[in-house]
Amino acid sequence: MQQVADVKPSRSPHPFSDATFADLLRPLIDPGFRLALAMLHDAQAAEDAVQEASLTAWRKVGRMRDQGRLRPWFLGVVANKCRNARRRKWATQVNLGIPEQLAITSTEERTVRGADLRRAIARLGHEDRLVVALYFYLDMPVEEVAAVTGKSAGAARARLHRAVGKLRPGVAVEEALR
Amino acid sequence: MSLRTDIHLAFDEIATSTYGMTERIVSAAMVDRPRSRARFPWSTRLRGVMSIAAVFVLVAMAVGVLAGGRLSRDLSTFVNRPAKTAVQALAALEARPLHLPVFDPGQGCPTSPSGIVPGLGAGNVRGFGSGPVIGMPVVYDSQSAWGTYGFQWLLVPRGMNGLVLGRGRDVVTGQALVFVGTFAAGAITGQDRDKNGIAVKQHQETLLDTDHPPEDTNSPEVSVAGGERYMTWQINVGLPAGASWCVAFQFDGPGFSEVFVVPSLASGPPA
Repeated sequence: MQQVADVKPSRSPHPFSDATFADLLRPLIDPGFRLALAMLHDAQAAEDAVQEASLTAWRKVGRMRDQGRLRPWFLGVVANKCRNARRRKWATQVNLGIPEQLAITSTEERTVRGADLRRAIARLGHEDRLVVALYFYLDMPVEEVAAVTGKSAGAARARLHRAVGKLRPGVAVEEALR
Repeated sequence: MSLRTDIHLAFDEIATSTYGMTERIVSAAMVDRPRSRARFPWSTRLRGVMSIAAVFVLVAMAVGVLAGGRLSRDLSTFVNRPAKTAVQALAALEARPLHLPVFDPGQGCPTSPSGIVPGLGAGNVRGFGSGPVIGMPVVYDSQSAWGTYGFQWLLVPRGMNGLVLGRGRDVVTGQALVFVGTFAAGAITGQDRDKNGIAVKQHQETLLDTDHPPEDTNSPEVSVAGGERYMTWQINVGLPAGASWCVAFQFDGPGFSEVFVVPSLASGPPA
């Protein structure tokens, strides 16, 4: 399979054939979905966001200056789709998986902790939530997080610190970032 | 447990099965893709041209709005100017005093001087008045509970310009003549129904715009003595019940005011 790094820059509006673009897109779907899931907390909404991002990617891939950065660029598109999805009216009806009054019928502590954590992440702002999802859930290095968010590595790290501080106020940031 | 592990667990437990999702999304993207590229390839090529055309259309619309507004203003000025003049002219004509005679019933109907108008009827149609407007006798048309209606031909010189105002009354009873139909004008004095049951409004004046003479078979162009050509105008008049139908008309126009008395060929339906 052709790797992202193998994609050569092109000035053509549509530098890829259909098959090539599909091959490039496939490995991006899963991280895109996981990012959207972490942002929207709803599997169906996440898949829709990735679907929209894929179409946008096809239309705009020719405008990429550095097509070797397809992955962070695509994830950035997904993040924008998630932001738009939350802004849309229907987004208020999206099941975030975080009931306001959590009925604890399960004795499994993990379930409760997971719900609490998702609720805490949902309360973060878009940029904070994005860096948390990219760094902790997609396991991206800070440099790639920075590439997706369009910030410098230092700015991405700083935002990550602030987001972790909001999620786990009592936990040392460096410990959380391990 | 680390924050990273907690986050993984928190989201993994709400993630549904993603089996087939990748191919589903890729296939959908490929299906949608030709719609904008292969299925309508011309749309991509024409996008730039269409954008430029759209700009031109917007500019043309803006210019059109501006020019249209100016044209509308000019047209409005053009239309209103004569209308305003006409209103003023009409008001001036209406301001002229009436000189309609009134006769005693025993005097009969002393009509104005008349002459044969060639080219009308069987050659025995008389025209009354010294001009420039010449009146024919009023011809019975219909009757209603209110009164009787008739029509009358008027001869107006072909070369006359401007408005001609007509008013009239029964010279014996003094009842005011009403005008109905096409050339009726002025204040509405009443309402009636014609022979077809259609509501008609009764006006106290008739107005002839000689700049725009009627162009129909009921308004032929005729020649009278001396070869002067006239346009015929057919007006419709009415008088309430009890009228004698000896009718006096006063016509006021540019530079003239004349009065003539015409008879009626019948004041009611044939017995």
